Amino acid sequence: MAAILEIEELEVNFRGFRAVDGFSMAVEEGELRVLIGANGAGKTTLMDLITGRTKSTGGKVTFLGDNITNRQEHKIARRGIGRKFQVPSVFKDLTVRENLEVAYTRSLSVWRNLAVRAKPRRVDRQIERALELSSLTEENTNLAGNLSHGQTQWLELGMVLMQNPKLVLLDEPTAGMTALETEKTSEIINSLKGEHSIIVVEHDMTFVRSICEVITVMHLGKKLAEGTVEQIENDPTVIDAYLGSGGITHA
Amino acid sequence: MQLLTRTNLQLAAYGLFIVVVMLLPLFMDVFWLNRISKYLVFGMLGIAISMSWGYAGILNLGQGLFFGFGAYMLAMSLKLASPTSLAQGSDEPVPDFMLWTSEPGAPIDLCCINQGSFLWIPFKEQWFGVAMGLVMPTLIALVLGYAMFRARIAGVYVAILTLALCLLVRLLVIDAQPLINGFNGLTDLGWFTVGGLEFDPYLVETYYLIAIITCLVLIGARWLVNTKVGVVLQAIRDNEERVRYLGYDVAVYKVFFFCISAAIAGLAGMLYVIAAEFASPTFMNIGFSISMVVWAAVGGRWSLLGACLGAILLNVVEATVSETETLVEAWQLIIGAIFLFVVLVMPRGLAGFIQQGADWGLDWLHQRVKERRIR
Ligand SMILES: Nc1ncnc2c1ncn2[C@@H]1O[C@H](COP(=O)(O)OP(=O)(O)OP(=O)(O)O)[C@@H](O)[C@H]1O
Ligand SMILES: [Mg+2]
Repeated sequence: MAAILEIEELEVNFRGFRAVDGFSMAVEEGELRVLIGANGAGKTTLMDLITGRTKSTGGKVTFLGDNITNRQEHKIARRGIGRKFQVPSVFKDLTVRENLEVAYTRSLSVWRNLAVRAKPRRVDRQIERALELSSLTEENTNLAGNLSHGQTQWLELGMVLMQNPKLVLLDEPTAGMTALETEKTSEIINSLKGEHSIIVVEHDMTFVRSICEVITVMHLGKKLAEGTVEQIENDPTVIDAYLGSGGITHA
Repeated sequence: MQLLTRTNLQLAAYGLFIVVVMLLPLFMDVFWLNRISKYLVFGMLGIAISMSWGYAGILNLGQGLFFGFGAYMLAMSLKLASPTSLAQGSDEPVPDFMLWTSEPGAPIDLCCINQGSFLWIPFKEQWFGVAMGLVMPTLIALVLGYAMFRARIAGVYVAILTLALCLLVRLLVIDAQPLINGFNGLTDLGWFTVGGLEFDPYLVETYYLIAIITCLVLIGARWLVNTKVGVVLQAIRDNEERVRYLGYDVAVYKVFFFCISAAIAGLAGMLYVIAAEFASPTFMNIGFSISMVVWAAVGGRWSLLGACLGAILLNVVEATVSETETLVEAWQLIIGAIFLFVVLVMPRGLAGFIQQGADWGLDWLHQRVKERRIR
């Protein structure tokens, strides 16, 4: 199977500090890849590099056969990469429904959107589906700024669903959630699986076990190990660098 | 069908405004109508500010630049249409002030009475002036907006840049004595004429010209913010970065609204010239541009109608106050106090305040209806 995303020797140098340092990884089409690593390992920075938020100082990112290294954010997004941020990022002054409308990105140009009414029927079914999946049907006319933390995270997942990208990057989707909320989140992510390729950063190992196929471990900007849950949990270098510090179950 | 909804109440408010504006001539003499038509023009500026500041989050402190450009473009045409311009000893119209500063022996003709005077030639056609009054502000906004928003300049830097540019152009205008009569501006203008109808500012027709255009702008703006472009723009105001990762080209969206806002300001400038019969560098004073922002803030910058009404009401109050000698001096103080009061007590402006009241009313009503049903 062909790799949808290929990262080769990627590097970023923040005034002498290499937050990502010669990192390589390939993600297959339809795969769900978990990325773990201690705080400051460079996971978020890696996502910033893929999505064009941070410009790399070396290496290459190939997506669907195109070199997308250091391209503009919106162009990378248009190629089909969607993202959920570590700090939940929704539009607080818009209603839940409007958030989902904005995330429906089949038409992106000003001219075409002038012809689109703010509440187009055609999109309604997709919005209903996203609302249902993120359990926000009741709240659909509320301002997003009034949602609870967990609901905000789900709304952002709903937005990713509306955007319908080929590759989804999820940065700690269960951070700050209760056990019950976490369970619900893994349900949502499992339903995204298959249709989309997914990279998810996660600390919670119970959660990882419930969704995971292959894990990549990052340490100090480099790839430390890659393999199944069992392989990783028994890998001495990982235990030395990371699990040994007691970090993997909590952190 | 639920009739009493938020949207329907808003639409009713728009409808009421339009009806009142259209019926006003039944209750007022032409003198007051002329005043009100100027305030409607300011209302249009309120709409322009609401679009750029309220919806797009672009605080433009140099809106006077676009207003002034619109005003000068039409005023140039109307200057050439003035009887005095035809009485300067030539078959072709020449602005009187050009003769005051011309070299001895210079031909009395727009081609070459002074170095820049040829620029006036196409303005002999009134509709060229009208077209330029829309095109120039839009073009400047396009170039300025593109430069700023591509470079991701935002927030207070936009305010500073626009303010500085407006002041710079004001200086250039004042300096251009031979070309556009510098500090004194363009006065003694002819009337705007459409198919034989001369729009004397003290005619009811002139009031209607301005009133209808203002209402059309209001309706058009409302339509625009209700398209998906409007929603995306509000999302940009809320969290610009996030919008980018959805694939939207944020700069293009901002430039688009910046240009629309500039075009509205240019249109307002032209209508002001028709109602007030002059164009002057004072249109580009900082004070004026800041006033516009105050009007919108008081009326409610997140509401097009609110910002429009804020401009009109504050000007009506100002006009009433200035009838009383002692209050004239205090006007600046009064407006400052109103501004502070609104910003502190109702941060969403008058419109936001009323909207909140209406929302409570609606909630209460719906609650009541539910209780009835249960019983
Ligand atoms: N723009 C920047 N300039 C300088 N240093 C940066 C910048 N962005 C990130 N860093 C540094 O890079 C390192 C990696 O940060 P990153 O946020 O990618 O870690 P992470 O693996 O996501 O950690 P966490 O689990 O805490 O989210 C950190 O030491 C951080 O301080
Ligand atoms: Mg992180």
